Amino acid sequence: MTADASAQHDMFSMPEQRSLWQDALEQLMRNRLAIFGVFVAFLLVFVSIFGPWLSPYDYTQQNLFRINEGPSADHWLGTDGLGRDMLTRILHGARTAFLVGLIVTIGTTVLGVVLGAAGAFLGGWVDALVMRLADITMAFPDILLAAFISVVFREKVLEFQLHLQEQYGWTISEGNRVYLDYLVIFGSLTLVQWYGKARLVRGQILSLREKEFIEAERALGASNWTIILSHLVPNSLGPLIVSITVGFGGAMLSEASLSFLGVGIQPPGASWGEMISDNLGQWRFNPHLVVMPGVVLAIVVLGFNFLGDGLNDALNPEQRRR
Amino acid sequence: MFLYALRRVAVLAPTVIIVMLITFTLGYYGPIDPVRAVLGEEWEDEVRYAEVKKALGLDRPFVIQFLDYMGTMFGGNWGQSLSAFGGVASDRAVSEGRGAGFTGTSTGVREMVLGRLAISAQLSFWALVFLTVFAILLGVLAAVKQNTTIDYAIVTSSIIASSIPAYVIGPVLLIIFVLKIPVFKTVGGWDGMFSRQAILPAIVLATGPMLVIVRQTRAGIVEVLGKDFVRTARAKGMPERLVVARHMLRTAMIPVLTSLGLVTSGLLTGSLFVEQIFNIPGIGKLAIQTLMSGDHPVFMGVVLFQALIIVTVNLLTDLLYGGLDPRVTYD
Repeated sequence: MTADASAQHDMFSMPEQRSLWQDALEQLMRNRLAIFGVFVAFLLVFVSIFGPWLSPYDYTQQNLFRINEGPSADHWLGTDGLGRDMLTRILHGARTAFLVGLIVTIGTTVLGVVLGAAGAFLGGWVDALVMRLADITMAFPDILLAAFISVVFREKVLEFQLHLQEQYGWTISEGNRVYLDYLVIFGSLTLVQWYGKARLVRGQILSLREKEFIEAERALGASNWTIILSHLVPNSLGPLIVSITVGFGGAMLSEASLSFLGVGIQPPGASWGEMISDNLGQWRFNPHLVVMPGVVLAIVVLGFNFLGDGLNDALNPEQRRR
Repeated sequence: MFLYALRRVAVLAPTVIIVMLITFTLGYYGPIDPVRAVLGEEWEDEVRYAEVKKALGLDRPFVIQFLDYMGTMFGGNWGQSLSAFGGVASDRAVSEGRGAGFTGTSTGVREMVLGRLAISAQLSFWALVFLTVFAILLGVLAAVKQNTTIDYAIVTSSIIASSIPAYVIGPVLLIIFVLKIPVFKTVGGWDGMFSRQAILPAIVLATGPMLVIVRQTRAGIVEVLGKDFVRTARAKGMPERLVVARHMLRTAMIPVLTSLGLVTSGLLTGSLFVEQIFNIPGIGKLAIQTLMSGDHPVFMGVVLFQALIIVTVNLLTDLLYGGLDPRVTYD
């Protein structure tokens, strides 16, 4: 599939036989900050899968005799105001962050690619509609809109679940309503963050369509699907991968922000943002309770930004900054 | 150009109306019943319930309510906070330090939004001052020392400063400058623009758009580094400092200035975390308080007002960009 595209690169611009992807990988490996990002991403995946087995405590387990403790041998990062182990909660927060990042990224990418491609290919009123929708979403202060949607839909989803329970006896979960917060966050962040990718995909397709090599391909009698699969997709993949990486970090950050404001993951669910706001009152007396989730959040967001930057330099050679 | 501007302005009104429709619908179907927010425990009294519902105009159909809402918004009187109707909403508003009893003692949405905006705007002003002084200086330094350790250090540290959210930087700065090195004694709250309390929040607010300004300044200067007019200036014996200040900065500043518009709207709509951390009664804090307490008229007012800022600044930036750079043409 990429054979045609890379063959062209080889013939015209690359004296050694290297494809765009090989070149990109080499570029990426040379960028130390991007390597740090790759490391952070792998660590996040590992912790979010195996986190609960790494610590002997449960993330909701309270011990009111040992509240607000500093780091010690049996609580490596101390305990919070309810005596819950901080390390365990931070590990669980990684699971929250990763899940939100993953699902919101899948949601926005699917929505963005479908809407952006539909706008670019169909044109006319479809394109106008997609672009107006993007304009309107862009006009909102995004965190406030996501917060508003979360508050409104949390109640609706809860009602719907209770309805299912009464009518059909379906119980999704007893007592713990963290799953509800997840659903609401996935939905509200996808609704607020789709437009960047839609605009990107649309712009890519529209500009690529005018390029000479596509015109040549068409003159040679290639079908629409050949052009799409062998030229449009591989050529717009680079910017899309960068946007997905940056969007992944952005979605995790937005989740932390919403939870910090009190409209995201609700206690006892574990989220880094919720942990910061929960312990904010303690900053004078137990600063580590605020700093630890904050530092973890900062490292992960930074990792994804560095990785996105590195990928941008590697995959979009025409925009290389240095 | 003129036609383009006209078309952009014409699209503005429908966009704002749809933004209004979305916030209104969300508020209408929202979980918090305004009548109960006003009445509190008393809501089970059917007579009182119907009375308050009528007073709030909630007994009318959705369409009529929306048209009425549009009327009040476009009429320039943005309606009343729920705390104006007394009861629990009012008590809660007083205890939160807003609504009746708070500066201006007004319960009008417009007065509340504009009053709180004034505080956020003062905070954003200081953030802009920090940005134009430090970020532009750093950008110039990075460009002049292009591809050296200094350049990498500046760019990397601006990426770090801009990536970390305010609710992480804020507490860390508090811990450093209040606990470890006690530079500030009183923190939190708002005591006017020229009080020491304004310094830390303004710095935290400025870290967000730091990267954009540093990168744009750096890119702008790098672009003119080898240009003829720069060489001419050097050739006539002009000190390097003046070459940078008079010749390079002037041309490099155009994209920076246009992006300062976007930065300003970003500061005004994004100050809520800083306000939350430092307990500053700005517009972001008002939004969060009213969202939580169910005072939807005020919350919707804030969202709509911020949407107006965003839309207007986007439009002005696009037009200004076209006006300043003759190479940009609009179809």
